[in-house]
Amino acid sequence: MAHGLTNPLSDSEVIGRVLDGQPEAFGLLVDRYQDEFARYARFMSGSEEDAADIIQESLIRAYRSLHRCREPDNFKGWLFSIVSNRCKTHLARQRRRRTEALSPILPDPKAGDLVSRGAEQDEVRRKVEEALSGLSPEQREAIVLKYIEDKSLQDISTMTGSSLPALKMRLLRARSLLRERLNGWYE
Amino acid sequence: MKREPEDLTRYLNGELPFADLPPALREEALKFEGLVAALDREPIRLPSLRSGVEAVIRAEPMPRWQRLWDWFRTPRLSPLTASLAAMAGALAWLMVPSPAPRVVPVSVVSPVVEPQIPLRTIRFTLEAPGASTVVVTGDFLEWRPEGIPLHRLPTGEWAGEVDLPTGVHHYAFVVDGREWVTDPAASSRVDDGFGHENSLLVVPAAAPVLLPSATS
Repeated sequence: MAHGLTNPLSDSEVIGRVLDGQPEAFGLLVDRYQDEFARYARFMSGSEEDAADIIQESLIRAYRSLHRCREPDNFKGWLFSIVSNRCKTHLARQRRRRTEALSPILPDPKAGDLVSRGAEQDEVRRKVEEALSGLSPEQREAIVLKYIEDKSLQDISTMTGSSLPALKMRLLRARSLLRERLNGWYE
Repeated sequence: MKREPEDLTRYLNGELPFADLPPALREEALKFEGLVAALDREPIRLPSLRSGVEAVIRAEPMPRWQRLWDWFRTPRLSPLTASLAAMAGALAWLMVPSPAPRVVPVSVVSPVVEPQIPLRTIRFTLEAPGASTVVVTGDFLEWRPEGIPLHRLPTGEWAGEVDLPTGVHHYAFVVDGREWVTDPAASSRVDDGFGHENSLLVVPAAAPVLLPSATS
């Protein structure tokens, strides 16, 4: 990623150049932000490959609509809303394509202390991801931003445009569903 | 579904420090955190997307609004054609009867290119007494931010008229060149897919336009 000394132009300056007829300047924004939401897209979509597609599509969509970026100084926030929408569209398509139901509630493995048991770590991770994929896109987004991206409720509220009470309710329901789906592992 | 104790909710929302969490709830909190900690939080480095994005950018023609804008910005009149244009303009001005003072509608469709599209004059208004400039833009202008300027009325309201083809249009106001404002009087709004809302305008073929601020 090019930041600071190697690339001193601000986002709004780069956008100004692109809109002024220098489309190649958009490459600076690609370099700057392509990894910024990669982990978010990875957990929303379920795979790194899909995440790369989503981020690329989002950057192309951002370029095509750059003249509609209402706050060039907040390009990052605007790009996030595009990535978020692409992730949700991806999930909706995935859900339509899916013929099998999601995995049933997990069997009771009597896992004990989950984190300390290295041998079971991959299995735990797989089960948690599976449970995560059973949440609605909005619930999944809230969990990913709060517990994986470590964002504050206020930041998530700003990023997603959800009110704080709605966000708290979404997180509460999402946690309850995760516990329910991971019942055997959780107790 | 088991109800989550309030203190646990506050802790998991990041609103209560662990030290303030009642001891009876700490195990529960650690269990949940243990589960989400099982997920791999390492930052993901994607292979460079720059070449892929640039390939698409290069392959795409310049957007229509930008071609139009460039066309307007590019001086192209020779002295002869400029004189002819000025004479034609003066003649047209002399032939047209003087209208009552009103805002002149701006057409967004070239009658030369698309003469078959029926147009209707739509009046846009926005209450913005503190604004220095207000323009209206929308899909009918390829969302060009410079838009069509509205004029300040003595009431503090801004108004302008635009000739629009019949059909459904999405639009927004731009105040002082930077603040995008959804029409507060619009009867319908739609998500623009970028985290904001656009106002929706239906221009029917014959009946009056059903939109509080945009009227024919």
